[in-house]
Amino acid sequence: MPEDSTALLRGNLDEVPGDRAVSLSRAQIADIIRAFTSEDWRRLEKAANYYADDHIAWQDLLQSALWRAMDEEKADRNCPADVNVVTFLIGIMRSIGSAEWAKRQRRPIQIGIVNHRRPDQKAADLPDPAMNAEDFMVRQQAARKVYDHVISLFDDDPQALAILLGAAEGLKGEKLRARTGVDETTYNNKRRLIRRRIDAAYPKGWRE
Amino acid sequence: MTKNVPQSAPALRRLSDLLVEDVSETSNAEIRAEISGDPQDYAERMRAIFDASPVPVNRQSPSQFGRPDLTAVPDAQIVSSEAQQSQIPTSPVKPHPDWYTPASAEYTPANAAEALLLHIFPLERAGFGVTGKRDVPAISRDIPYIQDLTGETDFSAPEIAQKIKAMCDAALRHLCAARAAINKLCDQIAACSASKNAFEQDRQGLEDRLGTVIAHLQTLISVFEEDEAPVADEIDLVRKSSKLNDEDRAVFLGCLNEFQTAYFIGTRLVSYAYNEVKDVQARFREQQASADNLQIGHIQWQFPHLIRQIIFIRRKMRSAAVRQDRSLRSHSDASSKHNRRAADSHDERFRPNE
Repeated sequence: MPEDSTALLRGNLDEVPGDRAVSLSRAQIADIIRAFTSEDWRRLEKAANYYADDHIAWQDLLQSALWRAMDEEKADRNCPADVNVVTFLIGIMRSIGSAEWAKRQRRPIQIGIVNHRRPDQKAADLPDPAMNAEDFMVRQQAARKVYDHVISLFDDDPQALAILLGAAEGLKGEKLRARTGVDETTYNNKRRLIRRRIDAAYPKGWRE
Repeated sequence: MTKNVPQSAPALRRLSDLLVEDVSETSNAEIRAEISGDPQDYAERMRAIFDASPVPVNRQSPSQFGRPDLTAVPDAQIVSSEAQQSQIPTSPVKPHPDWYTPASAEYTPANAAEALLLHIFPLERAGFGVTGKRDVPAISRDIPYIQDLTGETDFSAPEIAQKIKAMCDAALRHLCAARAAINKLCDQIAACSASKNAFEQDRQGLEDRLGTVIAHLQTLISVFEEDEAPVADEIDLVRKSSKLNDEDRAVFLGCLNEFQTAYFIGTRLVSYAYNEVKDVQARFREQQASADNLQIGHIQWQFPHLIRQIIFIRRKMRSAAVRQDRSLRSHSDASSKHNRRAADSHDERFRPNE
């Protein structure tokens, strides 16, 4: 134990055997969340807006992330002690958003449920919330419209546009900088510019 | 665009990563500048999302963070499918006095629903006749009592208040009934784990109870669907009323907020029900894993559908809340300059978390 403590104090987490020893407990996470500043909450709100869409509201996304971080039985990830809890929650929101998006790609089967006491009536026959082909095309067109508009916001700035297109292809960090040929300072400046312009055009995430 | 352009929807999701990366590294000063109004109020409103979580995070012991065991409901609290309608509570549900203390071991569907509401809403405003013990979100704080509305006008705000109360009341009753049905279902599964034959014999009962759960959740939808339109109509009438004086208008804004809050409650109720059904699904899976020969596939396939239905309800309620929010804002826009000042000040206090 003394060795573990020393390693923690030094911040050298690799020396601590086992992941559990360096993960925050649920109670610790709860305490940190209760102490969040307005800036922390604003960061979470902004991230939730980016990862939310027409299918899942940002409040639901944020609450789901808080819940997943707190629920001891269902928690499927731990927050390392050296990770900012805001970052941890943003990661969960991203994960939930991706999972929801992936789920929507699989069209579920519409099934009615029979009320056996009254076979002439179905106990539940609600409209299928999944997208049909027409809905899917409409969504695709809407996404394309937003995407094209976002690209057009940077017509006057080739470097920002290059970073944007690289990010749209899934490149990040070092790889993105290498692809676009900008140094770290320029990258950070352009990234800030991109965020501010998109924030101004889409203050509530990717919704018009 | 070039032919190599990525698909738009995934591309936007990837761009989100870039934006979030920047948000994480942006200075506190810049982030703070984006917060309109009092940062402390903003933090409180946001914290309300955390406090409204179905997980009882207010408890002190980490070991109690998990939700209560559904099967721990006393028999007396379990409503059979046959007698269900007669046992749906018709009067306001009283909260358990010690619900928020760790020592409280009692768990009933009514208490669960009540505790959920106490998390997010001062119940005396919805007519439940109890006082919320915990801090309430800013959205519902200081709302003028709609019962105080008097005067000779061409609308009936008390009627609106009554409808709002009825909506909350009905939603709570149906949630209790749905929870009871879910609990019964869990008991059935637990009993069946002892005997394959018993499970087979009572398959019909399981299906019946599953149908009951869905029926109650469906009723929950209809409660909100059927009551939404007439209440919205009345609100519209009130908004257009030429006899509306400043005082009435301020009270009326309170009505709008009550109405919006009712939908907020509905959203959380259904969210809670959704989580419960997810639990049931998990239990089914456990049963299937422990007894491969059981023919329960024909029941299990119904759960994804059930969950989709609840997602549908939640989405519907969320969009209803958004509509009410727009109604509130459009009302503020249409007011006179004098009234707008009052409305803005009121709106500022009750603006939802965005």
